[in-house]
Amino acid sequence: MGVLTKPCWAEGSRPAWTRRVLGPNRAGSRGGVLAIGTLGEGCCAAITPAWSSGVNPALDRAGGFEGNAGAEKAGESDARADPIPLKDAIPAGSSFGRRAGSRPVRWGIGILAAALLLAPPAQAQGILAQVKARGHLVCGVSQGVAGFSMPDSQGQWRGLDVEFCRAMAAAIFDDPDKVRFIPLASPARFTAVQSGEVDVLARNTTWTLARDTAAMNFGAVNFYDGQGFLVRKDRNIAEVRQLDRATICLQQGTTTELNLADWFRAHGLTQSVVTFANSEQTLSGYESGRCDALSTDKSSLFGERLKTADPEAHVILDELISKEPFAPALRQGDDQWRDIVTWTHYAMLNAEEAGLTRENVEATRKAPASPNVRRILGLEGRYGQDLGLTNDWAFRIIRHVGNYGEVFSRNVGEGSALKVPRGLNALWTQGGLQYGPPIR
Amino acid sequence: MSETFLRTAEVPPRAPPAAVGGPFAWVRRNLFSSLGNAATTLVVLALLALVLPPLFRFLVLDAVWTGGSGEACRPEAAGRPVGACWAFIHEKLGYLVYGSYPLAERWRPDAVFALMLLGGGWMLWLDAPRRGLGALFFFGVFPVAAYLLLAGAPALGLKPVPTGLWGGMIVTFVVSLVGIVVSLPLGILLALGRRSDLPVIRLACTLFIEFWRGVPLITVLFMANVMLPLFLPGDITIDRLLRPLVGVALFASAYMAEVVRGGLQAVPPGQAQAARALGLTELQILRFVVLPQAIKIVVPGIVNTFIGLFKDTTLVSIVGIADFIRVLESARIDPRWAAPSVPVTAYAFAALFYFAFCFGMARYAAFIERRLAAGEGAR
Repeated sequence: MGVLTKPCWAEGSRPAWTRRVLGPNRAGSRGGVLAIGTLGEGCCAAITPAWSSGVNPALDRAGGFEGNAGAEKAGESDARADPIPLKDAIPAGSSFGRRAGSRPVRWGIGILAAALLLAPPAQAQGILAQVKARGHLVCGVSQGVAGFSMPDSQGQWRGLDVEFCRAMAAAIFDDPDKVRFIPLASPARFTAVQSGEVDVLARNTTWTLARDTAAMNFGAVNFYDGQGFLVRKDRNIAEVRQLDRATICLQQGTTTELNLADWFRAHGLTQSVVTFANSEQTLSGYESGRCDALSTDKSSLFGERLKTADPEAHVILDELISKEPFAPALRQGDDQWRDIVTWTHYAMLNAEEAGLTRENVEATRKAPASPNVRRILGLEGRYGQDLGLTNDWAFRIIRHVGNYGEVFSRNVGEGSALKVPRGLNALWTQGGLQYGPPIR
Repeated sequence: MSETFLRTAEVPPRAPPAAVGGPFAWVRRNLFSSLGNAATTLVVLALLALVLPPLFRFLVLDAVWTGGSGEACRPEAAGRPVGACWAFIHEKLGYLVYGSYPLAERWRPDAVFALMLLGGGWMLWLDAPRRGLGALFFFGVFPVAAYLLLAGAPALGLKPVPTGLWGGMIVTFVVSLVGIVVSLPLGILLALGRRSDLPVIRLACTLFIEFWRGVPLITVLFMANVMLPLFLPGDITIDRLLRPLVGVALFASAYMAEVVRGGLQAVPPGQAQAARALGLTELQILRFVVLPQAIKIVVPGIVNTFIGLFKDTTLVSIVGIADFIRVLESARIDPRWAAPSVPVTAYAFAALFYFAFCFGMARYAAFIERRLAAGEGAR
């Protein structure tokens, strides 16, 4: 359902005029009305996520907006806006969440929706065609998460997620600069995908089932994250179990607290928690010695450690207590676009595995060593065309942006200030989870 | 024989009266005139002595002024206690002022700032020549020129710059100036409309004002930038900056309308009646008699609304617009500049920025009020 026209509340709240105008159910126009009724429901289903996953929980759980600044960090922004089912968001017994019973009302909604649908259908053509016609890709990013998407001192966007979008632009236009970045606040990001405001959302967003079913699809996981711990080096703590009866500093209004409680209970341990309003206060609480450990997403722990007075005095535990796979999100219902989003990442993985880098790819293309490299670089087969792109699509990605290992190192890894180890994000051949299906 | 008493020595001079002039007297009169005042003065002085020296030490004495990365702002690198990390602000200043505006085109926002100073100065400097022309420039020419310069006009050889790249102080100024330029005229019209004798106009204006006053600004912004795209067909997109801009302008207009209406009600009805008796038309009455008096009364209210508007612009950062606060937030998480004092420095800079502008507006308004009051001899 491309055009989202009719919010559900209109159905639930049953405005009096619907009944008055439409009157009792009349037979005779059944066929048409049924069709329209379906449309109305479709719209309603499509818009549900906007309320349930986009706006409400963020407001509810963040306890207002002031936490937003701190919330831009990989961890909590993500954890916080987990969609909750609509029925949970609404007090039991209210008519809001239930499907309206009487048919005239539903017909009214259907007719209204149909009237609004008379506007020309928006997604008659695929997203790829729209992007090509527009001349640039529109990519939703965060408002600033170190290493993932953040403007540098010149205002240029940098980061792992940013490079992903640049890779897509390179594959489509052979020009990594043909992409516009829209910084999205945490509550707005999913509606921006659903409404078509952004073509792809690369915003360190955790892939969950609820989000996947909420009128969105996800591409390949471009960063495996999880909740981790920062502890003082001189405490000689090597694993999370040793934190039994410890005090742990957390930021308020995030699911890190729930994850922590779950994990400790499951392992028969106890802990006490001190929460703070934002990441600055959390860190200074930890530094001043109020807690034994600080917990948030591991990718942001590296940034937090840098902010301490003496980064060398703290260590980040290897262990993770939750799964936070970050994947790019796109609008549901466009399989071609989904393939492009997914395979952009896989192309970068295949390139790393085959040893293709930004530097050597031009030379290698002139004298490719193996059939596998020939296929990746588009010298054999017509894989790119089948994707809706050109056959040298992966070559373009590697030449302009590089392989996954290069991008990782530049933005979050050894080549950056954060120095996040590859860990789970190493290639499968090196004990990690990054596994690109073959291009053949 | 009568005795006469004659003084043989001079009467010693009496102590002179307490000084009536000079700094000593001023202090005594203003700070220590009574026991209560003296106590208050001492408490305030003690508080200042407690707060100011550490603040001065943090912001100036211990501050790090130069450096290429956050390392320079670490105590072990500097070899002394470290206060504010101004090197960070220095490095990020371009980003804080222009956001992601292309480097090659940054002369254009500069030109807009220059025009803004020219127009603002012309209009606000009361003895400037041809101030009518100045007002025309500020309310008519300047917005168009600023738009063309910032957004670009291929016809004039200016490369288009999408609003997504605007950021920092540019956005803060654009949002607040649009709010100010729209809300004052629109607010006056709405206030007049609400007092109109024509019921349709009165009802429309009242509804408009009550609607915008009845919803929080944050709701308006959320509707504009999060919900609105869901209700529009996918091929219709309204600029992401324009949406909150319209919201802020209409919101400010409603508040301005009520401020102006307060002024209109304070003008005695006799004024309009007298003007009518002199044969002035309704328009003339408004223009020469009622409005000048009404506006004069509400200068503090208008300035109050402007200051509130200027600070409220920070709310647009919540819906993904890169205003000054937003870019500051993005800048301070740069891992290259990760140092303990960087976040505090960033917020101190923001505080100075907003204080400078709000205090400036307040002082100017005070000057205008004094000047207007001088005419009545009621200082």
